[in-house]
Amino acid sequence: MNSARRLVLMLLALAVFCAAAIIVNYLTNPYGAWRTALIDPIFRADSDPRMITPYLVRTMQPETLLVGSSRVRVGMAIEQGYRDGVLNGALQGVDAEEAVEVVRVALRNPKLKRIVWGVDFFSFDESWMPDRETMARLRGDPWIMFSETLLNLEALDAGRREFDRAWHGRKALRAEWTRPVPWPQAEVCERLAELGRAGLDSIGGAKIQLQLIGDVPDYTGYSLSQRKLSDFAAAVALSRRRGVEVIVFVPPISGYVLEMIRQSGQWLMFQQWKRDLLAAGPYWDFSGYHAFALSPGLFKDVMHFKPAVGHLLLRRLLGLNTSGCDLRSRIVTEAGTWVDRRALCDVQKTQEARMRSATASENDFVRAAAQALAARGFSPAALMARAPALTHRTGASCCHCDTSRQPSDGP
Amino acid sequence: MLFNSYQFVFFFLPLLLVGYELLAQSCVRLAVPVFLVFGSLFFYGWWDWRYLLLFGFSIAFNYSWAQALRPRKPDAERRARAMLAAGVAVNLAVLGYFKYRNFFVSSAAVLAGRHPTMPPLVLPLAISFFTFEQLTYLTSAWRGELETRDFLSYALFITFFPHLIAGPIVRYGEIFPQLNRASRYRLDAGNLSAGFMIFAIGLFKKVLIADTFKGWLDPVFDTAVHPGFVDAWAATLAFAFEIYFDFSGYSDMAIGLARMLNVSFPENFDSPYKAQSPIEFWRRWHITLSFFLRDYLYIPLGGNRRGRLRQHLNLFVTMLLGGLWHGADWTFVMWGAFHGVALSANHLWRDRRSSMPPALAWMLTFLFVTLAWVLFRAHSIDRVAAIFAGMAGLNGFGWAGGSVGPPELRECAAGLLLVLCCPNRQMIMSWQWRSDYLYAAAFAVLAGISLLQMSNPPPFIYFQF
Repeated sequence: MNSARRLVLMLLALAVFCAAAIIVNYLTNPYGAWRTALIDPIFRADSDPRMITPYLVRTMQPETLLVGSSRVRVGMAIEQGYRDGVLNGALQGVDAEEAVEVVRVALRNPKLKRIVWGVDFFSFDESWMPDRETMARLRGDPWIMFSETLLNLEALDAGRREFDRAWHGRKALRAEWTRPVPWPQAEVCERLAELGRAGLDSIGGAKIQLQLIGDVPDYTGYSLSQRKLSDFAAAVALSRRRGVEVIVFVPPISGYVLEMIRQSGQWLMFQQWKRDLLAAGPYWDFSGYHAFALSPGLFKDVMHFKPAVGHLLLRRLLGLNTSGCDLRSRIVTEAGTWVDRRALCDVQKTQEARMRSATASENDFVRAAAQALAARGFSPAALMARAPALTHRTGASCCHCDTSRQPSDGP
Repeated sequence: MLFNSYQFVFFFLPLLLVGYELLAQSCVRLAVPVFLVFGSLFFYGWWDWRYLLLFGFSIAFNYSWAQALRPRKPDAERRARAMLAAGVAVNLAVLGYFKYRNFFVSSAAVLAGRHPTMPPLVLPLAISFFTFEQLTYLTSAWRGELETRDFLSYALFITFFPHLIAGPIVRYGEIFPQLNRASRYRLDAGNLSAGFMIFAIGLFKKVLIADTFKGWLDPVFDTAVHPGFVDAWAATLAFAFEIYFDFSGYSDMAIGLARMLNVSFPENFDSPYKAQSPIEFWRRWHITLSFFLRDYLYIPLGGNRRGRLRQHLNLFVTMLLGGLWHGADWTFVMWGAFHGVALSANHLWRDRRSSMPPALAWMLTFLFVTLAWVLFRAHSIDRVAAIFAGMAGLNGFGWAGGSVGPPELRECAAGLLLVLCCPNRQMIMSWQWRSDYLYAAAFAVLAGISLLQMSNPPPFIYFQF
């Protein structure tokens, strides 16, 4: 045995093995991190959004970008992450700083025409932090890209599955992989009619309880970040300066989470946050104690509305036709209110009245939130008693409506 | 720095090997050991450079103390013994402060009916291991076994990076002659190829096998309120495999790295789950710790020289302290006690010259060791109780439907097959490879797949000790 020869062979074999894996991953490009398109991206699966989305934001050239949290991610799910010029750039548990970074990176794309930005109260919490790895991916950290998308076994496996789908062709793909985005109204109506009971209305009290317990830390120590609010407003302004239309909306929130916010003593802060959002311009508000929030059948779980609902919502936001479906579609479309400085007072007064009416007596939502808080050792009464007295920073408060301003343009 | 990180594999190790060879050719005799000491300190300081100060203090103290323990005249025997005891006490005090202070204070407070909040202390990496190794040095000095007393040799023995973080626990007498031989300061192709292969096997065990279990067993042990029967058993079995492949993988990597630098480390594992008795298990599991506890605790306590009862007591105390060495928690103490009782029972059984069918003996041993891992893994006595309740079926025999499903059960079955039917690393390395091509291909597959799986490496379980 010649030891030196064996050693050289070992190192050579290892180098060849790794180089082969890197080349295959680069060519199949299963995470969309590179601009290679050996396989049609229609066959790519958005299997790990926190990893894939930042790469897609960097490499794809969509006309429409969806931004937000898992509400947008799940509710307006695009199986490949990107299809028909629409990129779902939403991130699970998004921090406002991450969303701003997504927008900044996406603005490098000259084809971008509009941004549909779903904003969430929790992501403006001072203690909510951006994920370091997500930010590194968005900024194109070469080392993380190399280790995650090239020298990586999971990428190799994802590439194999992508190749397998491509081998079987488009016809073998599931129907939802090839539907046009935004989803056609007829199809949305059809899916709304088939919503069934596989959602929040059927998962049972124990699971709802468990999900709510997980949400408790999001609100009990909430502190609204002015820095995040101004970064958000600056990103919206920058986009508009670049000629990109920005449609901001507050997504629908289930009655359970609304109750969690209220019983955590954050209702006033929530309303203040919505007033502060006006610094970035008018927006759609789908949150509040309306029929949508109190219809568990429209939600997958306590956090997320169902995709069929999200598809209709997107059509509404884009100003497309939303008529012709059953009653449920009206609950969805009518939940949204256009909020500008002129309408703010009335909107918030209405929301206040609905909140009082919905919480006047004990019901499932009130009870579940109280139990979840108690399970974490909190007393709703104590939390609500120590709710902070809020000052109105934007001048657009319910108490001091500034009606002298020019009304904003409608949607 | 983790052995299973890209920083180590792509930067530290190649640079260290190149630097080692270049300095070896420079003919300056001290260049290589100095380079290895600084390289090892860099390796240690990568984690948190501030603990280099504590590590440096420990090295300096033990070296100077050992100088005072020179071979002595018979009339100075008592003084030398007292000096040794003081040296050991200082080492244990440092270890005790960082590792056990909060444990003892909070345990005492709870006994007194108080609930103090102690600020958490960060445990300096590897303190349990380097403290034990310094104790072997002090003892060797006291016995007059040191070949040389120069500081560089001592510093290299303690800091030598392959064993620095989590063992194997090496003794001065085993390692020093190998480190101190100038002829060894040249890279050797035979040792390098063997070292790379051993390292690749260890890396494969860690990233491809051990880490597979981690993702789904943690929720069962850490958060499941009422783990079901299947979940509790599957998670416990999975932990048995995780800790074995994790720690033996680490030991293989350490042995491989030392081999690349022409140093042979003692073996640390020998297919422990094939053991047919607790005594045999401890001869196959963390062998260097077993021998350390035997030579530095069990025998000084009297071993088996003072009657049967005392032997069992010594055994129990040794295992109890061995458990405490692993971690500052009552669960570790209970784990040690559990093994202490089992070893005593095993000795009693053996004394009666009773026999048992090998399959039954294996099954009982494996069952016992697996049950004991619950104490080792669970973070509190409440969690121990929750897992044992699940295993006993007190939460029902149904499937909780949490993180455990058919794929996880298949992983458990695969783990069992691997530990029982596959050759261990020593066996693989003793094979006669007829073709260099085959050897190179086997290495490339093992190392290559491991490198592809390393993008987000979790640390080794024994790093916390």
